[in-house]
Amino acid sequence: MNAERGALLRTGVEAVVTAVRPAGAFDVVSLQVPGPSPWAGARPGQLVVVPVDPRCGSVLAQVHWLAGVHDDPVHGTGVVLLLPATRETQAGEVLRVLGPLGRGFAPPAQPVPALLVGHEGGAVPLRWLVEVLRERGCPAHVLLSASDPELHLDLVHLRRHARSVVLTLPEDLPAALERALGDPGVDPAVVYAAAPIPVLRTVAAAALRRGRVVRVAALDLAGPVVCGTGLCGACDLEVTLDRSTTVVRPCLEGPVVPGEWLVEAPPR
Amino acid sequence: MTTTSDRQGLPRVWLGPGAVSDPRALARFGDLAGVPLVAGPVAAGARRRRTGRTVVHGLGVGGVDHQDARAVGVGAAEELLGWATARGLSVCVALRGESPEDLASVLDRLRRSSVGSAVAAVEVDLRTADDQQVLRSMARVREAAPRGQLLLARLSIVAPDLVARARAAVAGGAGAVVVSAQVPLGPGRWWSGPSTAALCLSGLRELRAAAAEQRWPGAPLVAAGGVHDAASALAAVDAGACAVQLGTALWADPLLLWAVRSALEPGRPAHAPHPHTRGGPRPPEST
Ligand code: FES
Repeated sequence: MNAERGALLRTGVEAVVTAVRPAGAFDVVSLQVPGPSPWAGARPGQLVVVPVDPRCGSVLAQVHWLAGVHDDPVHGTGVVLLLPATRETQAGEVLRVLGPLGRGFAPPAQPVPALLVGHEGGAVPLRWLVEVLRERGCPAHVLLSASDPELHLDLVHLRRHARSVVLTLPEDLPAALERALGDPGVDPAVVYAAAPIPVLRTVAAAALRRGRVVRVAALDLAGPVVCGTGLCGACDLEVTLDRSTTVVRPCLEGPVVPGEWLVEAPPR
Repeated sequence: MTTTSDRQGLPRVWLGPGAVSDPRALARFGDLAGVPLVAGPVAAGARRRRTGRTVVHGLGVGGVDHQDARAVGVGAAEELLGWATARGLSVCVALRGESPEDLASVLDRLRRSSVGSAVAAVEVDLRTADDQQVLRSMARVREAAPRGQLLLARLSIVAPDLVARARAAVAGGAGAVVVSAQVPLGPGRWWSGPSTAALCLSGLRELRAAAAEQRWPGAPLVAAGGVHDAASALAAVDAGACAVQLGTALWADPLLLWAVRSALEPGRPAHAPHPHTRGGPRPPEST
């Protein structure tokens, strides 16, 4: 971590909401931040924490996936978050944000095909990852599950960047996943997933059985996340490391981890 | 910058055991020099290397209803002690036990450990203990601890006769008392947060008044409850605390640690409004 990035991470930055675009149950919120650092090295799968003032009643910080970072000479550095529409975020609002935090998805070094699997709001990191993959020349196929069509994430954006987008119900996801993994038109070298932990375990097991590289964002922001900064342990997760079970803390050691960690007996 | 109390040599800011279950996470945000990292709660017989999932039962205005953190084994404390030693940081080991012997056995193991010398302080969880249990536990811990080791007794304001328990803690060898304002909601279940600030201040004032009346010998007090910004930290100092402990407040904003540490710097006028009380970014100290 260079000194400037470290300093900004420690202080947080004041970000101004410049645009709010509705996307189903979410708002795509664009924020302007003071400078490219520490955002220049940000990756999909990293987190942003919005601290709260306990005097206002709430005692837990808001934790969000980073949904995009764009830097251009005219508008400066912009950060994108997907916030629940119920939050009623307004343009001009100022948020103090800490981030980017954690380990994000590393795109492949070669332009290989990738399959992205997500579930409802947990799929936010994939929204940005699909853009990054396209820029690298990696054909990206997206498989999303949601119990309600409104909960599918910003489909317009996904369809613009992905080679294909398949929507499914949660109960049909395992079968749809098998079809995608076996489809010669997809033939992914790498599978990225962002979803609740049980879904990640299913995805990791299926993809590893077929010998694919799997990376998962092992934090469910709809689940018991308390701090997002690695302090509390609410997100602690039992994983398999070197054939023994141990506990990792996604907010601190992830959130992106190898898929092998989520399957009980990693295939050799 | 020194963060040591000019009065009692006690660090001004401490971390709440359980709420900060891995203080290494805080190192991402700034320099931890002068803030004892917290290891634990550590209990004899516990094996886990991490406290395990923090269980939050519910949120309310100004507080959180949560389960006590589960205890970790001595191995977890040793791991953190090793990490801290390599970085020149100090550690406070938070002890929890069913009996005085349980408490002592953890210290015995730590004394034999290669990193045991990095233990700067030991905090004993006596929130549910009466004065006799406090006396027996602290005396046994004093016996097991190295000579001169700073011992803190964590007492609940809510339990009966705070002054008697504080007197017993000092008689047993405690060098400071942590005044915990957590409200018990059931076995192992507590209410914590800024809404406990008034309770904490009342406990601090009660102990300060009792010390002035010589109903107990007095000892440095650490305010643990409701400290959620620089102003509330200064209010605790006004009420008699030498130091504050930050726990669930760091869940809301980890940077609060540095704002409070800066507000409590020796020499800062007690009532001066602190520019970084809340919200605004402040320049970090160099690491
Ligand atoms: S939610 Fe607190 S450590 Fe992950």
